[in-house]
Amino acid sequence: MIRKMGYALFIFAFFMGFQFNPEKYYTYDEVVNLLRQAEKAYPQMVQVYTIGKSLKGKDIWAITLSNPKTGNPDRKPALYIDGNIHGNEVQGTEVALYTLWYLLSRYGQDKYVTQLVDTRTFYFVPIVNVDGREVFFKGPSTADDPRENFRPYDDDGDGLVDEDGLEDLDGDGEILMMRKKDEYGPMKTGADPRILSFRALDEKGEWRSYWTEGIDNDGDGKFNEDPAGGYDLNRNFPYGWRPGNADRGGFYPLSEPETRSVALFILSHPNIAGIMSYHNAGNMILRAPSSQRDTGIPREDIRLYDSIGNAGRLFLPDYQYMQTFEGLYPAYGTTIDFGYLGEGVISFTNELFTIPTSREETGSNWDRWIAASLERLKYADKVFHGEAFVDWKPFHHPQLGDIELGGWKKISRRTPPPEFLHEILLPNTLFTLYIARLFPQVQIHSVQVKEIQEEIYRIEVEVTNEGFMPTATKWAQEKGIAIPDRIEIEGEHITVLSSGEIHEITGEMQSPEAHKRISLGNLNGRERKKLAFLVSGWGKTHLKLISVKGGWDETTLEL
Amino acid sequence: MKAIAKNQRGRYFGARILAILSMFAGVILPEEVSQTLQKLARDKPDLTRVISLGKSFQEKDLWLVSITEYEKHRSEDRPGIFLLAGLRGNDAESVRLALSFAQSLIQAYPSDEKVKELLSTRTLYILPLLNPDGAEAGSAYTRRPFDEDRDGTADEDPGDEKDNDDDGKTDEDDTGGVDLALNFPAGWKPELLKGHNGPFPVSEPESKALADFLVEHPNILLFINLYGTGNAFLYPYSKRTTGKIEPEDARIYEEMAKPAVEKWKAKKATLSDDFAPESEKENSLLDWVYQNLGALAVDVGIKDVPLEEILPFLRDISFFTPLLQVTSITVLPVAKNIYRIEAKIQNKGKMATLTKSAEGNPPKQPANGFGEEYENRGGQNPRRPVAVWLNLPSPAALLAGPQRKLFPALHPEEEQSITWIVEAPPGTVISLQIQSAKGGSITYPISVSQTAERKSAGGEKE
Repeated sequence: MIRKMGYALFIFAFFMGFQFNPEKYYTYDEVVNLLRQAEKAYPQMVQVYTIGKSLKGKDIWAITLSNPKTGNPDRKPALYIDGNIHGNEVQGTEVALYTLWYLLSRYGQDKYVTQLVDTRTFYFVPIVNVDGREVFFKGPSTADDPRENFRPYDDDGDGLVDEDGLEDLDGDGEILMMRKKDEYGPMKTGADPRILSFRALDEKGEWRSYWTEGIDNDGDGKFNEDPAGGYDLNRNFPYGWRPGNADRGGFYPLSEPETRSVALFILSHPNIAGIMSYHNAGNMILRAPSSQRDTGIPREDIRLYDSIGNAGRLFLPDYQYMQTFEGLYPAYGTTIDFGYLGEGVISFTNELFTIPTSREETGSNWDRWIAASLERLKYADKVFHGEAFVDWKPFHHPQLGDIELGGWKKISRRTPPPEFLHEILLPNTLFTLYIARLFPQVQIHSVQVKEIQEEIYRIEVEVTNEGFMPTATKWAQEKGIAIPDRIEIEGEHITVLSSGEIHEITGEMQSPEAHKRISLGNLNGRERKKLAFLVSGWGKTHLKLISVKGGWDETTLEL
Repeated sequence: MKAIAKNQRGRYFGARILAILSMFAGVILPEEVSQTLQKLARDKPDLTRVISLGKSFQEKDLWLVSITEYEKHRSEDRPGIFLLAGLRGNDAESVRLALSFAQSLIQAYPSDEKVKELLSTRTLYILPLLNPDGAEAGSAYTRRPFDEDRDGTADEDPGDEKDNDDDGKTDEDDTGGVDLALNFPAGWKPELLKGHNGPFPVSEPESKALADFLVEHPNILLFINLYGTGNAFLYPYSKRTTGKIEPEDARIYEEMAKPAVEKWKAKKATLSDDFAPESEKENSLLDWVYQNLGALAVDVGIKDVPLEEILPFLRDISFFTPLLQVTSITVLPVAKNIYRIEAKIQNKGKMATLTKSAEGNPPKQPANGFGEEYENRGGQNPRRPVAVWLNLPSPAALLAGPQRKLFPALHPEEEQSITWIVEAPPGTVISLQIQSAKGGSITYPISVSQTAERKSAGGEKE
């Protein structure tokens, strides 16, 4: 009986081994648990490891997903996916985990997935700002906070750090807004009594808003003006980083342990050919560069980005595709600029989710902003069945007296209630996998050996890029940071007399050299090149085609 | 025990002999630096602290000595001057000078009045050798493997005049290879990945240890780098940064340079100027310090400059840093047990409590500040205000006046006055607190009594 039960449990554990719930937000501990399950359920294909520690000493986890039976994971073109670099922008983590689950659970059954997993490597860093995620779920937090890490920071410039943070006064697990009745206040309620707007010139005010829930800890008359932390991790990468702590980018790039861990990880995996860094919100497919206009960006790369971005709208019809700097706003020192400007890797940030509004809400136009708020509230009332907004309720504040507390919950405007995660997970996963599908993939397409005379051979090799992306972006090539593809010949008993590229039709070797290694430059998407080695000798001869971002291929000849 | 002691002594004498030999060979050995600093710490424990900022790639300590009157105040409560040398491992001359400067301060204290004043009002941080690995190898560069030619492998073609990797080039990827002066973020761009700049800004253990120490010591207002390849007095910007520095800051640099120009005909110029030696033209470390830390950064060339000229020069430019003083305290009884207290404070240095470069960048307006966003999500230079307040012992109470008065910066000679109305029993001792990350911290006792009192403060007190 016990044995039977144990057997049943084993079967249960095996099938339940790695189950992802697409209607749930995962806390840090739950994420770690899930990764352990994935590792246990797929020990051949999944490696789970840490790449560093956060400021508060929490592990930052990474996962490698690859099929080692089809080749060394370091020698396959790789897709890098991260999420939650802003502490409050949590659902990128769920998309990364869903992608992991999607690939693993469909491997062997779904032809497309099987081929991707066999020919690519996938790296995940599901939570970058691990301390931020922890505080987002445990509180005190709002939809917008904590964004940064927890490096002590003097927000209000009074020479003190982190001395006035948020407090959940009514203990409901949410940091709401505070308002107090005041006919000399600047605000009044409008079309919806839950939304405050500014009074018109000829109207009396009704309310004074005290911003977020909390007390004035330092007696300066302001509420929550210097909460815990920090630096904006997505402004702390080199390339486009601005001095003077612009946008809270820190004193120098990669000064923070979180960003340094991510950057070192990316640098130590030069096979990464695509980067997706998930954020929220706004329903956008954003591409690099984010710190400059497209001036100086090679046309070929823009074409590549546009081609992917426009295809993205097939997966995500409600998303807008744009160049970050020109379309959204300047962002200096981002992951995607490190990826593209620094490493020459095609890099995207998807801004997951938004509550749809019919109006442009950016800028300082209050009327538009309030109109958009009303629309969002209407949407939340109907679609989220009233779950996202806490209606105003009376509260006795120790410093302000009788006030009201109310407003958006943290799971609301930027992260939908968990049952709505479905809508985000699949299309974003498929779009991101589409990028991996385009990756370069070099191949020794054919080899012809001609014996010229005894123990003198001409070996003609045709190499191809079977993929659609070049083995290096034009930017990387122009800036001299691309590592050229190369082919090498090795054999114990051979000597290279001459080697080089040859003319496709005449077979003429235009600039012969006598090196074992021929540099091919960087192969374009769907490009073919022919080259030849003139060798003397005999025996086993090995040809190795190496492309850092386009994979490896090898073959052995017998001369 | 004995055996160990003997062994250590043997190592000590060994190091001495090596040091003497190295003097003639024009190199400096890391042991010489650590021995000299340890000796300083032993001789004058009340004036010095020797710490290691971290380890180099080859696990050598990065020694730093800080010098101030430790028995009278905390080192971070005084404006700081940071002196760096040995940024390039083979710049032995600068390392020796930094050591001599530290020794000269210790020896002249307390008999030399200027030195006494310097150490009672400021803290000096001296890091004589940032690149010990390079020093040992006789190279300007670090030793951590680095892919200078960006071909995907590091250090595959060392400097032996052979083409070790069969790529048609010789010695294009030598052992190690980062020039720490170039390893800072100013103007960082992908083209810098080839050459000696490093894989990313502040990538090396040596540069990171230095950067973190500077960030964690906001009291540092003057950063001096010694270099041995010329004798020009240089200041930002280098070729890595476009644009010009703030005119206010430029004036201070010019005034600082005056003795160098007069005494040893030093050229004063920006790092990017034609006069600057090639080694300094892209010195991004100085740009970084100036742009990010609210400190002035100068590059002092010491080639062929006599010791008796350069040592007083280094001492004197240290006095440019700000010096907050209480210039007067007036206590006026206005009613029974009620006093009007007026304090005047002044900056007696030649620099503001913040460089012009670090002012500005006002906080951004919220994109849409209605209730749902934070008031200030924009970034700015970390602000370093001068805060002034009274510590009132119970039952004394503040009736009027600021709880905590903030001045964004105090400029040279600028005087500010703050007034409070305080209720206190006669004989109460109130302490006036002045705290500035950059200008130092002062505690000043004020005792109140029913007779009117005007008191001029001679200087700061503890």
